Amino acid sequence: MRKPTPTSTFLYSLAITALAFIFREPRQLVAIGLPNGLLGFSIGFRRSKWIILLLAVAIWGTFLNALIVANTGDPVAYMGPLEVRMGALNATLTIGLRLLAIAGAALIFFSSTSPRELIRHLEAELRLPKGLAFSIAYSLRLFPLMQRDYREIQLARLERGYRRFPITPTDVRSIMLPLLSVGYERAVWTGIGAELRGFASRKVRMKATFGLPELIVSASIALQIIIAFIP
Amino acid sequence: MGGVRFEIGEACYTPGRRILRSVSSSIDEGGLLLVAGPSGSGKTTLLLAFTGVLSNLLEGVVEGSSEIYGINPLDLSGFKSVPRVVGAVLQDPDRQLAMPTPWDEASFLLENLGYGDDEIGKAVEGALRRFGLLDKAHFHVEDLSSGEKRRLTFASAIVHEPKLLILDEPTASLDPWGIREVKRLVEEARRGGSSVIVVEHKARHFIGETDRLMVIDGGTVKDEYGPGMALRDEELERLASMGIDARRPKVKEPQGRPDSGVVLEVDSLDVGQIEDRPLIKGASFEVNRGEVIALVGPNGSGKTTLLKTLIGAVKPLSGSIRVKGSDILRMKRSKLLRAIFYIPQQPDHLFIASTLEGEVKEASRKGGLGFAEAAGMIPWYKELRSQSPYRLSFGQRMWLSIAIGGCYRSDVLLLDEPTAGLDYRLFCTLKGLVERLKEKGLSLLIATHDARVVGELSDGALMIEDGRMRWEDRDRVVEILEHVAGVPD
Repeated sequence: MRKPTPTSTFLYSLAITALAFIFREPRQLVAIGLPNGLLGFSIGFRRSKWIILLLAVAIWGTFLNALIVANTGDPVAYMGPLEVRMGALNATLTIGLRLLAIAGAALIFFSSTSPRELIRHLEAELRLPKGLAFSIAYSLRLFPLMQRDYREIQLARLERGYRRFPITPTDVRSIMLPLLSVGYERAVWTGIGAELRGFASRKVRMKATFGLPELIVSASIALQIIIAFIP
Repeated sequence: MGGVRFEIGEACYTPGRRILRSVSSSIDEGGLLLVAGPSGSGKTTLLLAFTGVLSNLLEGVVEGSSEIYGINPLDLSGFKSVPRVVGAVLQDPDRQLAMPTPWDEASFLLENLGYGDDEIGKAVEGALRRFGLLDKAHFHVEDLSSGEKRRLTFASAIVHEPKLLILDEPTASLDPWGIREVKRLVEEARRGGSSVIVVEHKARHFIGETDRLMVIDGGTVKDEYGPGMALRDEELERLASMGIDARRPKVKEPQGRPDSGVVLEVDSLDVGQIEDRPLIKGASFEVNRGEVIALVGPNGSGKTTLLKTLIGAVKPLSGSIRVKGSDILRMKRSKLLRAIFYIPQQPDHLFIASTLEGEVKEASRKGGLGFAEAAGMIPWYKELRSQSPYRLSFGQRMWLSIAIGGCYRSDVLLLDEPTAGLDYRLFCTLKGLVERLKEKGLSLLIATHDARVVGELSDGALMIEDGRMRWEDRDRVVEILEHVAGVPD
């Protein structure tokens, strides 16, 4: 069986993201967080290990934030002198599941498509303007290059006596400036290269594909919604 | 109507700021036009002007006329037809490759031109096979070597069998082996009837094959040589003074290695990222104080990995590295960084501040060199101090990165391909900076495949071949590099 079209996985990830913001109850969020998290991280782990790190940092940040703004209810644990209450755990769980669902759905999408397929399908099926479709696809090509630049910048920062990881706004600025400078120069020339390869005359043939794989994707969204509403 | 003709009266990116003036030339089917000139002379602008990119895409102004195989690219409808007859290879593959796999990259142009899926499949398979990339058709482009990326840009450029192939500084990031391959590809394209235009400041690589050599500087034609040209020594010297590499690199007189004390000792070092697959095996060498050593080897031979191993960023697989007698594995990071400073190939990665002045202040503060002395290393500091370091020319950015390294008062500076893309004039100014640092007692280890660095800048050369490293006579290394690149004697 062929894999689902990029349009269907793109719409799938959009739908899961929307549901993650619509659902409020942890029980409902489990219904979309667990399956998408498990599936997304199992198929996308090798290509996107950094998402796990980001997710862990985000959940830790959420927990610290919840200790300040939502630490209400019965005490459940102690961290030194600090009481951790049910409200803080609930808030962390809710936001953690939400992030897990979004990250998992994004990984499913990124892992099942290539930029070229993405351009073709977004243009032909969703009728996105070709410039927009190309920009989305090119951003996928840019990620590994930016990762490589970032590693080099980290090394250079250490050499120059600065922190490897940014903490202050000045740190962030000093990392973003070279990243953007190199990225901008690269993007300008890639644009010129694309135009010299006929991007302006790109013909889009409208078509829509809907077969068994897309049916399964649609059914899985419906199934997750149904499970979320089972009392 | 065959061939290419252009007569550019004036061309500029913004009105009133003229870049090109009175540049014209022509080239027949199967011909090769070599456009040579120093950095900033207007070579790339010329390419953008006569192909219509400047006026139709970058909102620049081009006065004059241009014709590419019957198409007028200065007219918008003509410009849209340019990709049908033109294949372009840009300077840096990383700036050209827009798609994630070789197959996608080579298909991109054909899809844009509306070819059918079957036609695309056949043409892409043929192009990738021709460039030895079919086995890696579905690899991620980041898993290709730099030579393979360069070959992929060629495969993508000729996949539709264009009548004109344009190459912008095709040898900039290539080792001599890659340069030889580019020359072979150019010959093949010409045999197939395509015209080729090469823009290059390393003219010596193409001067023997070209039908016409156009030398531009300051945006205008300075010299033009026709078919059957034979450049005399004084003409070659004149081209060299303009920043064009038209002759073999000189090899400075050997002065013997200075007896000034060893600062860096490497013993039986295995280098690589994977435990059982070292890129370099059993490397042993010493660098003395105030010495410049060239580290020579093809792309992918492990030069950068070795440099990163020396600063502790990559763990050595085995062996030892000592700086002034101390083992780097036992040194505190801060102490190691005081002893060895690595300057990356992309100078922008090293910058911290948003102005040149801020950059020098930070380097002076963290490195411990006085501000006046730090600023004194940069000849154009006063005029450009409020400018962003990212807006300096490439040569200036490279200069600044080496000056920053100098501010940290390390014992050894490691330079990674510092002359890639530098014309001969910029190379000579860089040589001046290196000489100054050397006089201060700094040692430099320069990873390179540039024969100029070996011949004119270094005191000794280490050669990497088949994973082994050995000392080699500089004369011999220059000879090898030039011979491999196919430069005539």
